Amino acid sequence: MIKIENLNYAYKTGAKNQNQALVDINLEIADNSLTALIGHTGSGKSTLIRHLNGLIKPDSGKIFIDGTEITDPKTDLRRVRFDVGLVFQYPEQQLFAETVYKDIAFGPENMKLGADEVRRRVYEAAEMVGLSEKSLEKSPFELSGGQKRRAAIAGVLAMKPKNLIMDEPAAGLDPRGRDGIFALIKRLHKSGMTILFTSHSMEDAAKTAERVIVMDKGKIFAEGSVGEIFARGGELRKIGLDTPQVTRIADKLRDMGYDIPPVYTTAQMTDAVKKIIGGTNG
Amino acid sequence: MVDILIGQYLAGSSALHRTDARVKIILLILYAALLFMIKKPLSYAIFAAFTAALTMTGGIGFKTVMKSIKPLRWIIIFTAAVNLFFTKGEAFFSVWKIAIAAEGIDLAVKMTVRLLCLITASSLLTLTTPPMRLTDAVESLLSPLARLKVPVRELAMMMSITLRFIPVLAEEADRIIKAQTARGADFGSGGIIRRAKSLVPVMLPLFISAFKRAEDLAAAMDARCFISGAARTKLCENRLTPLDARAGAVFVVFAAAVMAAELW
Repeated sequence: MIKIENLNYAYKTGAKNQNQALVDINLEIADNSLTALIGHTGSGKSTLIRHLNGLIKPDSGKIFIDGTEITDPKTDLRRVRFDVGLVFQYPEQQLFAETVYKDIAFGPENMKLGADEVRRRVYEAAEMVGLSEKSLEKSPFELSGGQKRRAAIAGVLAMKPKNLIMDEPAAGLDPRGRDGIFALIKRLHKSGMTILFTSHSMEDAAKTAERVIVMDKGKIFAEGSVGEIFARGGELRKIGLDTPQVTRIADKLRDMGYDIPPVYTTAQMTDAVKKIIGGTNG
Repeated sequence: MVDILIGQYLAGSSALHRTDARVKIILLILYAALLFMIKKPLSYAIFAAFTAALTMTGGIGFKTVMKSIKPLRWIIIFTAAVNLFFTKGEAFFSVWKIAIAAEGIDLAVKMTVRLLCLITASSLLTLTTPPMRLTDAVESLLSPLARLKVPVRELAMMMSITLRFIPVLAEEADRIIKAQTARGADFGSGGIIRRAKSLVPVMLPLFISAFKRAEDLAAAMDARCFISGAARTKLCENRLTPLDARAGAVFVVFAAAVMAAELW
């Protein structure tokens, strides 16, 4: 479980100037949950998640990962980083080794695992993200954009973290690559991982996540299930966000007099529309 | 992450900020030349006072000046020590086998003041001049060399592109370091070879991204019909103002005072 208590953080931009990035954040992320963190650019999403494995130290407040206070200066942060995998935005930009295999092995090797265990983990991680054994011997720079992204994610998965945090995991990918990443996230979640990902796509959040956290101007604006959050369309629009497109269409149809339940994904919409058409026909 | 000295411009509207960058560069060169010709203690005192006055005119705080001096502190200390211990002369006092000559103390103090003045004055230039103005000024000052087929415009362009990309690359380096740290990379420990090796996961992605940026920039310049060596006009034409004449006059008075002190 990830628990954040009264977290505050400001970027120092000069001797006197500072930019309050996070204001009094209180959060709890349950084990084996799948949470989307949404908010527009500059709302503090990326800053918040970099706190979760100790890359940034808060000005005040506490963070607990499975009961260990990582904001305690005595905590071994390297250990924490093996428990909380963090996938940065555009992670393929950090690929560096001669082969995909060596790149994925970087994390487990830093964990000082035996050669056999490293090997096992690399193959396991590659399989999880859907990279063939043949591509493991290739240079990461020979892969396609989507494959590069998956290789970089495999590099974090090979450390077998209990919690996986991803910053805009689908940014810059084509629709197929995007679907692939979110299918992967769902698979990882089913295998028992706690997953938190940031996004500024309402559709991605509605389609993939169970819970949604909304951030605005460095504060937690709202928190709840997908249904609870997207029922508050008016408030979301006020802070420059919105509900998924299908939700807006459903709202319009309801205004026009159709009996349609709130929907958040295309699949739900299809079902609802089928019901209406079926109803009028029969 | 890193304190980058280049491009540390502090916005302001003081007389020092408003003086033409070309004038500032020329005066700084004259200042440095004069600084290495003086011998009398009084001249050093005048230099120190003048430099301090300039700093105050520019509205630059003591702390900021210290920040520019700090990275060079070892050079200052080393120079002072060499002058102190290795200057031959009559022993002023001696401890054990080490004798310190009066001339040594004299030289060490003078060298220190000289370096401090020079560092402060040159950082005043970068602190009060936006980087783009600086490259414009360099281009303008070097323009006579264009007759000798020196590609002055291109050199100035390269200089401004370099300055423009330093903060971008610094930010990128920071991001990559954080990402590799998240994968358990350890940069701070081990012997020198291990440390050098640990930089590969940072340097390689950084180089790749720098090359990619360079390619993108070249394409963007091409798309906007950039032609190397073409005659271009400037958005901000640099014209000398009465303020620049006054800056020159102040410097002449200062130089005259130093000369008088030397000859006296």
